[in-house]
Amino acid sequence: MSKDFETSVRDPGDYVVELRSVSKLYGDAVAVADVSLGVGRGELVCLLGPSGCGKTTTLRMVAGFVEPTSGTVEINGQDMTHQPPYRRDTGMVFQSYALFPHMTVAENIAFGLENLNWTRADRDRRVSEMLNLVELPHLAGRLPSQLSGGQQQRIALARALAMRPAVLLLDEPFSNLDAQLRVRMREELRAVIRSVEVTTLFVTHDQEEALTMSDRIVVMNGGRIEQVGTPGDIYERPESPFVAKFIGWCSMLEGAVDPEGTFVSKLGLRLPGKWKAGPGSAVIRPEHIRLSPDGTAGHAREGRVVETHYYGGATRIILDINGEQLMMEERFPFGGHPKLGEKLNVTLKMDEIRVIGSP
Amino acid sequence: MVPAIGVLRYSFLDGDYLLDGHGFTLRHYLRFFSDTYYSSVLWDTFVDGLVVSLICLLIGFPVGYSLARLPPLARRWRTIIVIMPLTLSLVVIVFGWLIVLGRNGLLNSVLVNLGIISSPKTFLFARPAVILVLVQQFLPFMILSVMSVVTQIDPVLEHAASNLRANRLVTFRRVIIPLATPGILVGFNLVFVLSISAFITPRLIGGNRVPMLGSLIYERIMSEFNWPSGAAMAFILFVAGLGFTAAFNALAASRFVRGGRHAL
Amino acid sequence: MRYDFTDYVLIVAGAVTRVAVYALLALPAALVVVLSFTSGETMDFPPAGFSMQWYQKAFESEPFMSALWTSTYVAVIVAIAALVIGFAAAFAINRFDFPGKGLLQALAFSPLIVPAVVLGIGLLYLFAWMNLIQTMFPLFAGHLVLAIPYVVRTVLASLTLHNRVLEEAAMNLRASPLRVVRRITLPLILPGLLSAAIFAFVTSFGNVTVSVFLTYGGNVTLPVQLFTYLDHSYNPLVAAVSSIMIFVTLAVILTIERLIGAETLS
Repeated sequence: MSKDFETSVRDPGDYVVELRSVSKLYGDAVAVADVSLGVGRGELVCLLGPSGCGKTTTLRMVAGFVEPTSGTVEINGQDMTHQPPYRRDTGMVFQSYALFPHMTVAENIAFGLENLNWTRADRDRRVSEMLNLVELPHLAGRLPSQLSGGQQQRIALARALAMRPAVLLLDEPFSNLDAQLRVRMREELRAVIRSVEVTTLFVTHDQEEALTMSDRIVVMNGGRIEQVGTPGDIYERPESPFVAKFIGWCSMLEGAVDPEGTFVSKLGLRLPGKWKAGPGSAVIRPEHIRLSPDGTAGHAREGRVVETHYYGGATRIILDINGEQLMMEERFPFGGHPKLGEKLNVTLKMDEIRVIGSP
Repeated sequence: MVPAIGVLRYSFLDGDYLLDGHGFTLRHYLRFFSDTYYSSVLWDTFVDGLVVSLICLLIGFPVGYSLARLPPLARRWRTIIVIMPLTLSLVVIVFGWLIVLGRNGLLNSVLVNLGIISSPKTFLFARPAVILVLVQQFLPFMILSVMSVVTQIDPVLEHAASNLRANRLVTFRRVIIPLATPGILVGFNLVFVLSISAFITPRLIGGNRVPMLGSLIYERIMSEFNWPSGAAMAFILFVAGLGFTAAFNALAASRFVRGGRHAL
Repeated sequence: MRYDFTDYVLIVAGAVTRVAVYALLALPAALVVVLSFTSGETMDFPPAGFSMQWYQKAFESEPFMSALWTSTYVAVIVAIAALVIGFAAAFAINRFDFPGKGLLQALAFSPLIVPAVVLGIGLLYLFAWMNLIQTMFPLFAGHLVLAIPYVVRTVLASLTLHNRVLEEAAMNLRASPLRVVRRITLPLILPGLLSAAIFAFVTSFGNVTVSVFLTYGGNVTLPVQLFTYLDHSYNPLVAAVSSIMIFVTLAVILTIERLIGAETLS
């Protein structure tokens, strides 16, 4: 991705937010290293990674709370690298929402418009428009402390969108909500963003959030970008062991591909296929392994059950195949649950298994 | 700090009245340390300070501990009672004690009515009375120091100790007190320094019978107008206070309170 | 829960100590108030009967009333000045790095390093040397030195608890730094500021240990007036005047308690 970006010749209007070789160092510690990234108009891009990977620092550099050590930040084609936050056309939803506790909901939403010197009538009109957008017009006079978590989140969104910012920034906006509400708010937020067609940069450590909401995902690790792609790309064609492990569940086998294209693991498990020769790691997702009771179809193998974990909807089983431990998931009929040490016949979907070449 | 340096300068002045005199002399210091009257007052002042601090610790610790463990609502009026003597003017408190301890005061009237004593006694103008009043004045500092450090000790530690078959005494000795030592030292230090520099209380409660360093300084300056001599005595007091504070800080930093750092 | 014998001893001893300590702490002030309503001429206990005559006499007493006025006026000025200086210092400590920051912080957190006698005498000499002893300056300076550390500590505590993300949010909403302080920071730490000012007021209003060295004939404060009076005699008039101070102090504590919780004063 970063190579494409450097070589492509394009119209500067392509990207609403553009980071060029941005780095941030705190003393000797590297928070963000050489990150280049463009967010297109109307696109929803997600920064995904474990805590401490630099995703929040990157977002805060776009908002202007952190000044990059090197590199440039452009918003709408203008260099904003050294501009203070209050000169930037961004709207941010903070992790804690950061609603002003001494102002009502309406005053919170109007605060930014006041700073832009809007007239009172214009402000009132926009505030009620925003409250309608998030479907909470009856809460205008309330204080933030009188709202539920979900309501606070919607007000924070309304406040960030009231100025029609060039880019909406979301910093882990769901982390303060309980699991069920989180899923509902995710859908609502996606709908609101679609309806106002705002360019969005979104930070999360939750892969499910990233997969369901984004147009594009930027996976970060140790301050660097690991991979950029659509949710499908990231899940099905991971380019590094880190991405494969971080997104979804998988078993990873070390080994090499021989000249015929067959992957041979260190412990000698052979997976016939058409991969490129050389050392590499095979990424086997649980859904790549299926039960085949007759033991004949496809690349059949026999595995011994080493561990079982019951999850209600499905059972996760660790199988020992030729000494390699592989994870699979299956729904067993009531009473038909496999026992430890039992032998199971399974089929591997070779065409979906990916081998990541070693660098 | 500037006033302290000023005091130091004037203590070397070669005069006996207001700011008269000039030059440099150790006369006032020499006089202080050669006269046994002054050294006995200095000694008494330190002993009084130590006694006041110990009593404050002994009766302040349980109060500070319980305040830290009380639910906020119950803590409220108790905190107000503790804060009151700190905020109220010292003269008013001392005045209150004058009428408690006076010849026809509350204490005598209660004791006589109970038949414990047959006729009113003189409680004022004696060392125990001065110590009692100093304890009441400075007790809040001890209570608040203990309270603030105990607040930071997780109650779960006490549950863990009792789960490990420790009774309350053992829990206190082995868990609470080691962890609360920094707060205890801070409170002890505060009370000690405040006690040795007290002058209103010794003067009004103790009269001339219970001289303390502070009341001597006050007299030297406000009645005899011998400023250089008063300055020398004030500087001795200041250095003594600093010395004790430094000693306490060293103690707090030593391994004697190794548990303390974890509590903070 | 099952207690063994030492537990019972501890529980009983603790309860007795606590009751005794609270009684001890409240006793002098309570007694002053009770005796201020006496109808007799002496401070004997129990009081002879109920009357308001001593309050009436207190309000008619010129020395006490002019001292009360002096105390109030000094305390108001000290509170305002301490708030301005203390807020500036606290804000600087909280937000910026500068040389001498550690020293400033240490000064704010250890106001009791210099005993009151030493502070009083030092200021007395300083102002005598500057020939300003017959003015109000020594008193203002002495009280400010006492009050500023409290203000710095209280404001610093509020600033530390104050959520910086709210300021970031305001900046994200295009508020300039000055507007952020005015619209977000100041309103949110207002309770802390108010209690700091009130506490500075009461510190100045009640102080005697420093004031006693710094007053002159024309500016005697109420506590100093009481002190000189008590040196010779005491009567119910003093009780009435003292009760007025008790009521003012109590009102202040209750106000602060409402604003930020009384523990913050420690």
